[in-house]
Amino acid sequence: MLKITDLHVKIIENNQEVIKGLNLEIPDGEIHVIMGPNGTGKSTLSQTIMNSGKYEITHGQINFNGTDLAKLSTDERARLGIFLAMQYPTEIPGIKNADFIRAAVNAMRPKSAQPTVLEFMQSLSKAMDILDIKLDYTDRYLNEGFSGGEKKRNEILQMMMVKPQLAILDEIDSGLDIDALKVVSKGINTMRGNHFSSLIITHYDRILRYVKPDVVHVMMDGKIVASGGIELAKSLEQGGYAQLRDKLGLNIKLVDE
Amino acid sequence: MTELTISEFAKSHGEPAWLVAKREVASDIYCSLPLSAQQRPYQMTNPKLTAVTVNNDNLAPQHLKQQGVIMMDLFAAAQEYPTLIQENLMEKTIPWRDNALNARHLAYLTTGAFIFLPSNTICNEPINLTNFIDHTQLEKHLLIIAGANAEATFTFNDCGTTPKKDCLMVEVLLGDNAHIKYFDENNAKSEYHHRVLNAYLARNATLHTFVGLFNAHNTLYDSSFSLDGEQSEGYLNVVSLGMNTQQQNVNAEIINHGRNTHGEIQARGIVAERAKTNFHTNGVITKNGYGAYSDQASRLLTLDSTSQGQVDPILLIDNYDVVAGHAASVGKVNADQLYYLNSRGIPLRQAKLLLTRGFLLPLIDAFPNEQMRKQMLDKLEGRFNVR
Repeated sequence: MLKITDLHVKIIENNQEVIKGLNLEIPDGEIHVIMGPNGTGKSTLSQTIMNSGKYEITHGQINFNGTDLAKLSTDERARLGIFLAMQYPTEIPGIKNADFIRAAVNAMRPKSAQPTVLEFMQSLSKAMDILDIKLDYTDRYLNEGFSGGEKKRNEILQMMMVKPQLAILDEIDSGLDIDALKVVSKGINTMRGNHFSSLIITHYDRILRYVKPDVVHVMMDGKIVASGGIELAKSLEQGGYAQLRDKLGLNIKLVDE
Repeated sequence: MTELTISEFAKSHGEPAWLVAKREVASDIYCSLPLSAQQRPYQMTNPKLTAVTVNNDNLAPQHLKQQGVIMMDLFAAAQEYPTLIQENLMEKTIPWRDNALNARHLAYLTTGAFIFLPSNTICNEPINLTNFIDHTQLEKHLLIIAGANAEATFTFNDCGTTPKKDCLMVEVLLGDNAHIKYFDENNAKSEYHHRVLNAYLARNATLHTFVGLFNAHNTLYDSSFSLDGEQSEGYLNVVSLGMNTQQQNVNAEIINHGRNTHGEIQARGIVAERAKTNFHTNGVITKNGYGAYSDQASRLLTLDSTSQGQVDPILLIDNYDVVAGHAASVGKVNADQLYYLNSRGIPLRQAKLLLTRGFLLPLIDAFPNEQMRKQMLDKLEGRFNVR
């Protein structure tokens, strides 16, 4: 379970506070969605959970399965079972996709539980099949020259192989056409289970047609301002963020207003 | 064993008189020849000369021997093919009078091999030159001559070198339309290792050299190609790994003398743990080099703040009708890439190793045999003790 209490985060570079008292709880087995206008700190939240080094927690706590994450490095957090599908996956020439995924899979497990090369290749090709990924993918350099859609699929492929307990999917649906969106959703749905939870960060409700969320949160100005079921997302799509803000009586200026 | 003078040594295995005389002159004058600050640590104390046994046989594999290929001891070749050796040994590509190290090398040369490919010889299999010289000697030499239209790939690997200082000089001469590839994996064990590979290219000849400097100690690598013939092409590639206070100096140079010649230098290196690596690359286009192409790219990756790197790209152009360019970078591991690997649970050390491998892989992948590639990657992993 992920539990965030009264979290305040600032950008180290310009000392600006972006997250201003955020509370969030994601129990095991649940899929949560965070929606919100541009510039409200959604990506900052995901990067802070993963410890990207660009942000600093000034107050509050992030707790995962009873462990305070504050003192843990990025790789230690990942090995606790947290996975972040990045909004902009990094290109790394010289490292083959399959080698990278294998290193990630092995990093998550003690030596005795690591799959053999054959077992790994079999489960990789099974996952690639579900995601409709071409075979030559494995020998290509990590994300290098991948299209936007290919990069997103690759993130989901990694998630399926690594099998995290919590997957944070940062705008996994942006830049995807309908077919790719369906495929990516299929990948997320295969992960569903009692020991898997997910936090999906998105701008649109389209992905929610394929991945049914348990809770939808709306984030504005560094805080969660409303939580509810899927109907909350639908009302947003119709009325926009400004309407919701006015309904809640919040005094917040939206970036794109 | 009794210690011999240079002339006694040379005569003991029947070197021709011209070579004995040349060695004696070299020994007399090397002190007065130039020696740069960079070269100074690679000077050796004069080695003790003891008689060596010379094998007079042509050691080329049977199927190559039938095509007229010669692979033999350099001293034996000096007796059998005096004109070829007299004209080419340390005359055309590594002139013995150029500096003190060259002259001493000739004076105290104790092991060498001569490789000759007659015109029109085509060797499909890579030829391993490793066992043609005695690696325990201090001054070692390879002289390779490829006749017109000859084609071959050579590989070389150090084994069992001396613990102090040693030197290997390689000369490659290519006739018209000869195509040679030379892959060199430097595993020298000596504290100061000096390696030279110079080449001369006639018309339409092509030379690709790849050298992996994966040895653990101080190294001076000098390489210079002379693109003399029209439309000759030279590709000079260096991969280096500098760790644990070792110092590496790489001087790579391609001279475009002929018209429409093409030269490319690529160097990639890793430095860590107080190591220091310098890449000096030099592209020279002379007055006659109409239509020449000269390009160089040097990249150094520094893995920690204690390591140093210097990249020094130079273009000297004496003709207006050319295409030339250079790229150079010295930098740290990319923070975004590191974060991405970390976010998948890969610990820092392994992430850096993966990125380092990825950085060198494009050049390592060019090596023709699996065993060499594996050996280099193993070496990288074995010596990689960055935290």
